[in-house]
Amino acid sequence: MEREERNMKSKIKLFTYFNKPDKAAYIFLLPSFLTFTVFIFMPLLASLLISMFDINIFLENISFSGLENFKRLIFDQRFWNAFKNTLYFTALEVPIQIIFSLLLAAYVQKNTVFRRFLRSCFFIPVVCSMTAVGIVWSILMDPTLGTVPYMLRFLGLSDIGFLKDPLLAMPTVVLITVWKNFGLTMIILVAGIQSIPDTYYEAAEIDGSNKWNQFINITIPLIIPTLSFCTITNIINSLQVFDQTYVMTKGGPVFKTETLVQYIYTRGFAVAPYDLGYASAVAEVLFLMIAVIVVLIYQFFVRKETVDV
Amino acid sequence: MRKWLLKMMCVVLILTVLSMILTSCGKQEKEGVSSKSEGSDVGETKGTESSGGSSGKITLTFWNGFTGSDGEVLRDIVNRFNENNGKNIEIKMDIMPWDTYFQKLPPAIATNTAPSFVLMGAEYIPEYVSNNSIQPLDDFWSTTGLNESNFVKNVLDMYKYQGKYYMTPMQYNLMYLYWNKDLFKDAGLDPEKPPETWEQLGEYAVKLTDPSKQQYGFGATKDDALAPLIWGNGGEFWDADNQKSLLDSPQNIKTYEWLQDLVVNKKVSPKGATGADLDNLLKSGKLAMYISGPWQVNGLRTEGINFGITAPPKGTVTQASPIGGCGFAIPRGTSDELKTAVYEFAKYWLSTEILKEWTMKNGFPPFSEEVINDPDILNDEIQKSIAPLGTLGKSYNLGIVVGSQLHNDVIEPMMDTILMGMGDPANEVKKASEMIDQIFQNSK
Repeated sequence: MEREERNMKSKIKLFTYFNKPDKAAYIFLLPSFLTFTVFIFMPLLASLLISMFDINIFLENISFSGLENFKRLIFDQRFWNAFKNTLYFTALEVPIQIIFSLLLAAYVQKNTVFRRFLRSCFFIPVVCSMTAVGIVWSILMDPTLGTVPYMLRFLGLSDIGFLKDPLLAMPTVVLITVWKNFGLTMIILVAGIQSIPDTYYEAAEIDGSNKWNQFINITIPLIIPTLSFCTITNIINSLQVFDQTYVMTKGGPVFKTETLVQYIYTRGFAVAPYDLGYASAVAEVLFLMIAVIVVLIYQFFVRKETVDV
Repeated sequence: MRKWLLKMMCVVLILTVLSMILTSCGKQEKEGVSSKSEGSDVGETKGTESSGGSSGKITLTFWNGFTGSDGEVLRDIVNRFNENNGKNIEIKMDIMPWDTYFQKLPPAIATNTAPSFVLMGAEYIPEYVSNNSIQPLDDFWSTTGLNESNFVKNVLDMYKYQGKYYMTPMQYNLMYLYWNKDLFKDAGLDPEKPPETWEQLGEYAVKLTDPSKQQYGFGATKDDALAPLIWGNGGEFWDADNQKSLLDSPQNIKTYEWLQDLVVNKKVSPKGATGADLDNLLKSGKLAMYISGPWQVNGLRTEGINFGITAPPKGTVTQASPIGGCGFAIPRGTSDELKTAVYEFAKYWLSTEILKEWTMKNGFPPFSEEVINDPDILNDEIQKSIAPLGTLGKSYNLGIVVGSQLHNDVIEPMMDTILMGMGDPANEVKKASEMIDQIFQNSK
């Protein structure tokens, strides 16, 4: 009897403890915290551990190798090539996508029927899977069977290899990626632009400012937080680029589109000796690289915001 | 009234959904083995539940990468085995693309969730053996009572490693030269006379190339299909026994220079084309000459291409073609009982009836005495051309632990660079040769 009472009391205690708003938050956070731990935090730690072992996918003959994998990385030309390609992709993709999306967002932000229709149209590629998009585009761009080179031949431009050409392969992948993703960036920017009060524009108009000046001096400064969000997520996505190169080029021609994630995949899962340890070491480097770049960019935007205010 | 109607509609909707769920469950039940064995992917012996059968039902799981038209023939053969084996063995086959297959298989073996048996290229034996991942199958011949000497020795040797069998034979092939007879005729060449030497192939390729029609004379790939060119001119890739590179030799450099000139300057092959691109060009009648395996035969017949098939051309020194093949392998986690059941199927496969069917339908050369001497095979157009070529077979990367790594990490990238005209052959060969030595060194 007494025991039951005590049980009841502790239950009530527990309820009252979590009934306070600041404590209840933990309960609401729990599901996402658990998924975060299981699917992100633990794999992150695991890959750090794995990177210090000589281990292959068969999980046979495992031995501790310390920093050997990282040392090997320094002299691995293919790693540096992938590193360079990843930076090249990011440096090309992010600015093109942000500028293109920003200009379009400025155009479609008004709520007329036609512009709303355009917004929906531009969003369609975002909904499609990258694999499907990649396959369709690589067929369209195929130098022997594709529609695009066929059309270009009428314009007197023959022999453009696109994805098969060492120089053009990466820019082609970048353009297809922009085509696939600009819709999302544009919608986020549209939301940012629409939240700017009309009064600013009215005041500017009274002062005789033209559309372009309004865009540069009102729109852009006021959507810096939105822009910084878009830029940072875009940079992270670009540094992790994989699907498109995997589907369209497999890293070719001659490794010209082999990115870091593609290289991790190749080393760890695609070809013998399925070197998981080494692949994890490359993954750690990529993780560090993303962390550093994102922190730098974030600080740049924070400074920009405070200066503008 | 309207509320009543709404309620009725909801009830009907729920009933429909429920009935759909129930019927789909029912179907799974009917399909036989409980979903448990599917989930675990490990073949398991079922208890004696079937009436009449003296022993229980044995379910084998089987993975392979035969996604092409040959997969259909394979499925048909497996189905017939399931119906007629008389030992209550059921094979559940899972066909997936090879790259998916090679990603799934190693972790499946490591975590004991591998299928009962698999199909795989013989070149993978050393790698899987060195990782203790497949079982030796030395007792195959004694268990099944099959006569080993009934099969071509060269072919059987492919499935051995360090003196032991690790696979049972399934199919073997060399690489052959395909030529499009119609394109030969249009270019003013004799459609019945394929090039006999590489020199001749070069000349023909130039004549057969027509950029205005998107037509190419020869398909140059980065895979082992061009090994006959290196061997033919007296070159070698590596010395597998002594684990060292033989790539950096004057004759190889000369050979690659000739190839680069043909592809880059004379443009006889589409720039940067992958194997799949070239397969498509061949099937659409836009590629005049191509070196590939017998798996093209079925597709070319379906597309109605007027083609011939023969040995790869002679070089200045000799004539050779890479030999390869698939075999049945058993992952380390498969129990002895299931292994015996797999042997039953492997034995069924080696019966004259099945081997002949496989040869006739897919164009693979026969390797059992009875099939080789079968009148139908002797009269088959394709087999007449390729059956005498067996002596040309030469190992490219069989029996080397790092065989697939050498090919993927060194030879393919080197060929890519040379064929794209992005590097001087002498330089590329030197670089590749150093890498080969390095890989051998690391594997010791």
